[in-house]
Amino acid sequence: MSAAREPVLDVRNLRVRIGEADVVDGVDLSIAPGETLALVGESGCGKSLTALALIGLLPEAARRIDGEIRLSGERIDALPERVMNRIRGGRIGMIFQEPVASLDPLMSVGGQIAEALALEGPITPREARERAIAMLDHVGITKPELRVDQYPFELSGGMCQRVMIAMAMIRRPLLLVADEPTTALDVTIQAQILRLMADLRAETGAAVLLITHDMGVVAETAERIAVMYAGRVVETGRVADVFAAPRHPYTALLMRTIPRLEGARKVALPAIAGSVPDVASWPVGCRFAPRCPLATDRCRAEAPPLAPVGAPSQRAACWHTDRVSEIAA
Amino acid sequence: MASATSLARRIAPPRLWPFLAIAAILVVGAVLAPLIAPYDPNAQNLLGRLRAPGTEVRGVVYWLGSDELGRDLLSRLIHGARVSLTVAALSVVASGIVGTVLGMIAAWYRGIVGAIIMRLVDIVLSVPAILLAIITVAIMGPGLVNVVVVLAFTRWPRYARVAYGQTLGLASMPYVRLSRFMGGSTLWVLGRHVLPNIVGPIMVVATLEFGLMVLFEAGLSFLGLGVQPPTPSWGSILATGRNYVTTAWWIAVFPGLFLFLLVLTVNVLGDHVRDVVEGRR
Repeated sequence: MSAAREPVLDVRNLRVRIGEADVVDGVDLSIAPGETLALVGESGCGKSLTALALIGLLPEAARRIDGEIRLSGERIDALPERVMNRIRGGRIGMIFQEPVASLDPLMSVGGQIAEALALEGPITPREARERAIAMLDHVGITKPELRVDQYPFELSGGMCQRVMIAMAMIRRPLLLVADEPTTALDVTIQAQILRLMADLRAETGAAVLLITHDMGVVAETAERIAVMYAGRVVETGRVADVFAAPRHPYTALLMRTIPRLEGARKVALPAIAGSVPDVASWPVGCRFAPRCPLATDRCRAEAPPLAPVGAPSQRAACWHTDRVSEIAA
Repeated sequence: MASATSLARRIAPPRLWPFLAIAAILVVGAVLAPLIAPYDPNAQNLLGRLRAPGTEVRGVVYWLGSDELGRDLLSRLIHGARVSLTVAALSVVASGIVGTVLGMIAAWYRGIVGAIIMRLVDIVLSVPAILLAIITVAIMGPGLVNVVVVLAFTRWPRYARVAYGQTLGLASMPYVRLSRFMGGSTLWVLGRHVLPNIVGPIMVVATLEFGLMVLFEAGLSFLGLGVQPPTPSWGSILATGRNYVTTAWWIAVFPGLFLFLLVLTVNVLGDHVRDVVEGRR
């Protein structure tokens, strides 16, 4: 395949409005086949709403007011609910944050995986069961023929997340949307789940949209990163490039918050002063300006565009990209 | 690991055994009424009118006495259990289905649909049920089927409220959202994920309502709006007994006692069902 291959997901100028405020304000995203894009940001920056808008499942209060969404080149942002239902779960898979709560407590593991198959088309119970067992085996669950008849309360959190992944992948989606897939898990289990997702991605060639606030997870699993702040993408690029030389102060400060093994002990972990401002009080200029050590009058008056800077893959929305190295770790 | 015996004890602890026995006797009695009732419940014997319990008249023993037409009270009560239990069971099922479905729909769609259904619930609940029942029977006429319809119509809001609250809580659960995400239609998600998860609380309401339905049927029959003579019903037997309470106390006392035992049993068992269901969560 060439470099010009069609992106699995291509989003242009996505806007989501709640009440009077645009909580997702002109987001562009693009993911190539087999690629993982990490969408990173603090709570309340709009990353989950972005993902929900992509799959057409926004909460009632929120509306998508603008934006083109293409799945493998095909517009899916104006499709009727009936068609969207076929695409979701079929060509797009989804993994939620809470693996245990994502499984129906009264339905066996096999029953839930069979549900994913039954929604695809007619299938005999026997065939569904066999495919469920095969898929459980595939996601690394031991004794799948025993587990298939067990209920979620009989499984650990990590196993539940494996079942979730089995449900998401059994219909071989083009795109897997994973919303904080490892946040609720132990660190050792996190690594296993991330490896499993990487293996399945390599095997099926699916693109992955990984939503996380954990820069460690990003470093391990993603090829590209999009950092969101207050409803906008402030920096994007290849993970290696962005991590080597962030060009937006927010990215630089986020990187500094990663705890390190080397260096002096008993030093307080760095934090970014303040918190994401409330939607109602987003500033006119750069939305990060109130918390930014580099902010000037220009930043407070005029919002910077997302412009190419640094490495070829990299783009950042900052007037002072040349000074960001001052605050990088 | 809970052994089989400890599980059995949790589901049916020894203190419930007397009530389970009463329930079993009443149900078996109702089902097998024609086989175990000593006499035809409608056979009149004018020579054996208003006889006290235990009296024998020409080879016919009135174990619980006879009524004003010389009919055997015990036989009438056994057959009456059929009416009480059938009406209560049918009305619980009917009102339970209607209420659960409407409650789930209200919680699922919310908005205008939810508002209409839940305000209807408030309206029906605000009118005294017995008054509503009397009005409806007055319009539709008395009879067993109509009593069931009336009770279903007046009692569904109890289930609707519970189903509404439970569904509202479940709608935001990730597994419900996931099923919707995977392309499950409203019917699919409600039927496969919501309904099974709210059946427990609904069952609690249903058992407690069952006792109430027995009383409602008796009350309507007592007022002459329920099952019509000569079909025996505990309520109508009680109503007749009222006229003879000074001379033939047994006609009023025994149906009253049966009603008391049935409702007590149902309520004790209902409380237990609630404890088990709530303890499970």
